[in-house]
Amino acid sequence: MRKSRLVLAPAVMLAAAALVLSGCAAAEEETTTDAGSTTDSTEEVAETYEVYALLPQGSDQAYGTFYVPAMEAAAAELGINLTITNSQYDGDKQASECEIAVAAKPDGIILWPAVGDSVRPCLEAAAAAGIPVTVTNSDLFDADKALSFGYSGPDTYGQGVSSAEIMCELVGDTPVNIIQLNGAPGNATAIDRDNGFTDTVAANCPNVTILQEESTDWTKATAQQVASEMITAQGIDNIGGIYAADDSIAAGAIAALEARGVVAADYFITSIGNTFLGNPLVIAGSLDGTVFQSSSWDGDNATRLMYAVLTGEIAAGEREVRFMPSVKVTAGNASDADVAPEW
Amino acid sequence: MTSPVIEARNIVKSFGGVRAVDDVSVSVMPGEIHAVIGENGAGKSTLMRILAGVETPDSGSVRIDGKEIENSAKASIDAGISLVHQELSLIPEMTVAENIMLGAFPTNGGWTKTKEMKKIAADTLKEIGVEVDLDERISRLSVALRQFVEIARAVARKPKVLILDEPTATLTPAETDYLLSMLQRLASQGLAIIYISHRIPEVFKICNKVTILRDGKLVTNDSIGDLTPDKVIDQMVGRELHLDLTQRRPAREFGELVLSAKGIKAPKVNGIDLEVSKGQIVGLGGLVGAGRTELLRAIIGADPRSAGRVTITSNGKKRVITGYLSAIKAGVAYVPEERRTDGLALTMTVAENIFLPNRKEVSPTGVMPKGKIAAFAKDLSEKVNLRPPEVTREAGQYSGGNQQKIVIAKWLGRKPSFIVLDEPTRGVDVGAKAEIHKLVKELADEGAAVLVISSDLPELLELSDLIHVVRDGKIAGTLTGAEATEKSVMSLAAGEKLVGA
Amino acid sequence: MTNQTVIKVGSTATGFWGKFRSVLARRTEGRAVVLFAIIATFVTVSQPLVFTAYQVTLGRIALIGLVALGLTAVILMGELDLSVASTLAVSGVIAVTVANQTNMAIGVLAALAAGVVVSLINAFFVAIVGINSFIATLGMLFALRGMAFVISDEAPVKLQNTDLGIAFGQPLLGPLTPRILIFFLIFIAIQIFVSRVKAGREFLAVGGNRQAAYDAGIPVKRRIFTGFIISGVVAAIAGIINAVERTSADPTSGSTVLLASFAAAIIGGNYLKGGKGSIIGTLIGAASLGMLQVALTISGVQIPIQEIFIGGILLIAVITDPSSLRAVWGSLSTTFQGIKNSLAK
Repeated sequence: MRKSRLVLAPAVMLAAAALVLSGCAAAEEETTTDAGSTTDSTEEVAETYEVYALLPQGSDQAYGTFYVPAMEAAAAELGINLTITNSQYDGDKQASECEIAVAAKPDGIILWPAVGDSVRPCLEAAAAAGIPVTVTNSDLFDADKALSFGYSGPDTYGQGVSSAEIMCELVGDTPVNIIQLNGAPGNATAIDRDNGFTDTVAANCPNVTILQEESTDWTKATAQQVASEMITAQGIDNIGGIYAADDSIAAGAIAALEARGVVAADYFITSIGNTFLGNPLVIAGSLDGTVFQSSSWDGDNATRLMYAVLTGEIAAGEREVRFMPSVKVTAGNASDADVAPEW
Repeated sequence: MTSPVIEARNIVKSFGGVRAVDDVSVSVMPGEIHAVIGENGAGKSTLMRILAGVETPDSGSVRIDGKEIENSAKASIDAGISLVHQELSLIPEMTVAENIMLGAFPTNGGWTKTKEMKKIAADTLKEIGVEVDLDERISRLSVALRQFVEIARAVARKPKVLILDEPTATLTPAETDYLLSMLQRLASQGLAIIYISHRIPEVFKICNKVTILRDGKLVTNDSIGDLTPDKVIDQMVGRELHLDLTQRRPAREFGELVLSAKGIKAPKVNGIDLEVSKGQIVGLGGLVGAGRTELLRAIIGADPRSAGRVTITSNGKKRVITGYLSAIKAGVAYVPEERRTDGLALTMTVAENIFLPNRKEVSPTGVMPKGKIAAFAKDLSEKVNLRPPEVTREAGQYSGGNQQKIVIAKWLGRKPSFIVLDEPTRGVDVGAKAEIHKLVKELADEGAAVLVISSDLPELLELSDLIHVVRDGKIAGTLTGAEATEKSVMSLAAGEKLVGA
Repeated sequence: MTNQTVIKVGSTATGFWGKFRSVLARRTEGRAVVLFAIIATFVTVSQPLVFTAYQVTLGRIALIGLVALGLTAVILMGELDLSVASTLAVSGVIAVTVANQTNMAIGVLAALAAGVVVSLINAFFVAIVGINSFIATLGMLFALRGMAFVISDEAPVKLQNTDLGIAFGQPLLGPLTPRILIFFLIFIAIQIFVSRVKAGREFLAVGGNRQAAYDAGIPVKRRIFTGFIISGVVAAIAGIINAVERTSADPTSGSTVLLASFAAAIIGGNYLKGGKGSIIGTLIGAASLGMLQVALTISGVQIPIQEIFIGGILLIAVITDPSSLRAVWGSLSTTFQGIKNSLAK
């Protein structure tokens, strides 16, 4: 008797918790279906849309903590009922979430690809079900772009260009050897930034030579280790600068330099992000320049772009791209309010 | 004249210098029930493991029907030797049928023939006269029933020789009677049975021949008709004359009562009362599996007890023991049987080991100054005569006897009022053994109450002021002074009536 | 003494319900079934979509359950295989890389061969060298992850035959995609292996009491090899399915697979120390987990909250084990006894 009671207690607790939660969810759903049934009314204001947002991160990562609230705020304002998923950068999990989303037959799907190469089946399934897809944060590969209605988010290639422009301006005409630290291997953002940077350097300041480039996993710790190995390989005296694909990587590289007993300010260092980590480094002078990526702009515009699709502002076949402005942040403007870091 | 089915010739086996089996030869005829008896550690189980091919002898041979067999588990099984282990060797989550047929599933090209498997299992159970659901999982059976399934497994192999190692240890009297009559029936069908037991009455009830081992040596190999229970116990103990009585503690007055345990019940402990006074050494005698360690652990709260009340009085303060931590607070020092696993961190230094239970004494603030720890440890290791007393060495580098001294030393720092020792000199060389005995006696003389378990009879007699003999989770008898002899302890432990001393 | 004398210990169940009850009590999946029923009820009430779009739910169950099925073969023997997620990644990369150069069939064979090689190495270290399986397969986890990066040149490998990949994700039989069908076929195959084939039936013995299994003449080492091969090959199959269905092989794939598959096995009543559990249990565990994940995803519950749910269910699955309950009960009763005694004083 006692034993069975012990078995039951936690089970009941779980069931209770589950019911409370499901109650909320069910209530939410009721309101949306009610609103959905008024779709045929002529008043546009009363329109409520059901939208799935398939993200690879959420409040569990720094970028998401500003991105998700901004996305939700815009949704509330525009009358969109958002269901947000988080695949934790697991492509297979996101594919499964996409299947769920398609089965739920929402009015639209906002996709932030976890792994760029893996989203084709998801896009095709959504297209077959007649659900419009917009892309946020990192754009699709060219072959897949036709399957989406638009992209909003950072101009990842343009960010690389801006970072390179800062670098070229700083260096002037002196020949300088630099090392390049990229983002995670295979990541579309990492590839685009890499291309934007290298293309611009080749065009604008061929006097800058990239001695070596390596991938990181976007973390400071790994970046510090990789940078340290590169410095050893190339010799500290041969290196005049560093390009890092984001601020965390730059912070790692700076730490690697300082571990050698040199002053980071003596080196030409640029990156991308203008994060809580990067912005103070720019103010302190160890990082020469970075490119502002606003996560709240990103989240906000993801919703707004989808809204434009839902209201017919963007028709099928006319893919709209809304790039986030790539604002350069250097010592001159780093303390300004309009480039206050968000993540 | 038939020839023996199984014949072991001149078996020798040593473990680290100790001769566990020393030149023993045994032979058994078909239809014979042959008892192998002896004290704990006399070498019975080792000998049986050698017969079953699970242990490799240093020298000697095993023959079945006159043919020498290779030493391996498989060769022994194939030759027709089935061993029913002392510690049950069933698979808890498999069914009765699967366990009976374990390792010998009937197959057809890799597929098990479940029907045939169940049929053989059912037939075997019928043969030994046990009824149990074939599809039941072992974990849901009683311990007694598991024992019968284990026997069924051995019988299912159609053996020529069946070896049973203490099969009645966990059975009730009725179940024991049933088992014994079953064995007689199997023997009457021509099976040779080797029966290992501590229980003298059982031996006299069913066995035809008796082999007695003592300290690994064969002392008796006789027909049952030539022996009496009294004679058997004499032969098992065999040291009556060598006992050095001068070593025993003289009768004395004890101080106030330290330990009071009433109505202790726990797994394998069926209601025991126990008292130990200041300055007194109480010994717990009995056979392995009688419930002594369980009793001791239940008393100090190291294992849960289902009933009973324990109090410990130290420094005039009486405390109820509800768990191990409260026991430690009350001044209990526990030196467990498995010192390698329970008592010492072998990769830590002697100083660190000694420091562990004495954190508060050495550093009330929680700061751990190395020098202070070393000095503290050094004092204690000198007291227990650790050799060499190098406290910065790893505990694992010391011999068994020295390790035991470290375990004792680490508790001495707390000036314990009640010291509990479980087999304090097992696996310890003679010299260290004497030193540990001396140390235990000194501790009692200094006012500690001591409770000691020992299967080593001379040790038990030498140390104890009072001996409780435990059998089947109960106190079978209490002995003091002159009535405490190896023979009287053994008689009580083995279930033979106390013969006049 | 005659053969008629029979000692009867315990009760033999009679009647339909009696037999039903005793069969139920014998199975290790009992608690998993109860959990499954609770979750199914909760899901039906709150998110009926989980059932109406059952092919999607089945897809999710197949995604987290496939690796768990193979893993269970090893867990039954009391060993762990932490390398499954990395095997999944590396086999996916090999399948696509080879397929791009030759054809899909050769790619699949190469990936399966990789799975076998990985498991042979794992089993060699565990069974022959005698390294703890946690450590041996942890090493393999890192080594294979690195290998996946090296082979793929640190970027997802695109399957050139994209149409094949897209087709592979389409329903094949009714609404069931190849992934779901393969998942059920593998479930049936492993279930038959551990319940009907001699070698498979002996897995429980190896896990339950290794010494006894050895003493009974069971080739323990060979069984361990078999278990690891099942685990490795199934992980490789999962890797191939993922890569083909997504039309690309991602060297970082499977990052959430390892924990999910262990969770499925544990929720299914498998005992990590071995000797207790079943393949059916793992299936039920995966189904519970999959349903819950789909329901929570539809509800838009954020990942941290989802993890609390899954963790809670894992804990319930573990603490409702009768032996855990007995231990809890034992220590509680000693404590109460003590309190009662102190009060009596």
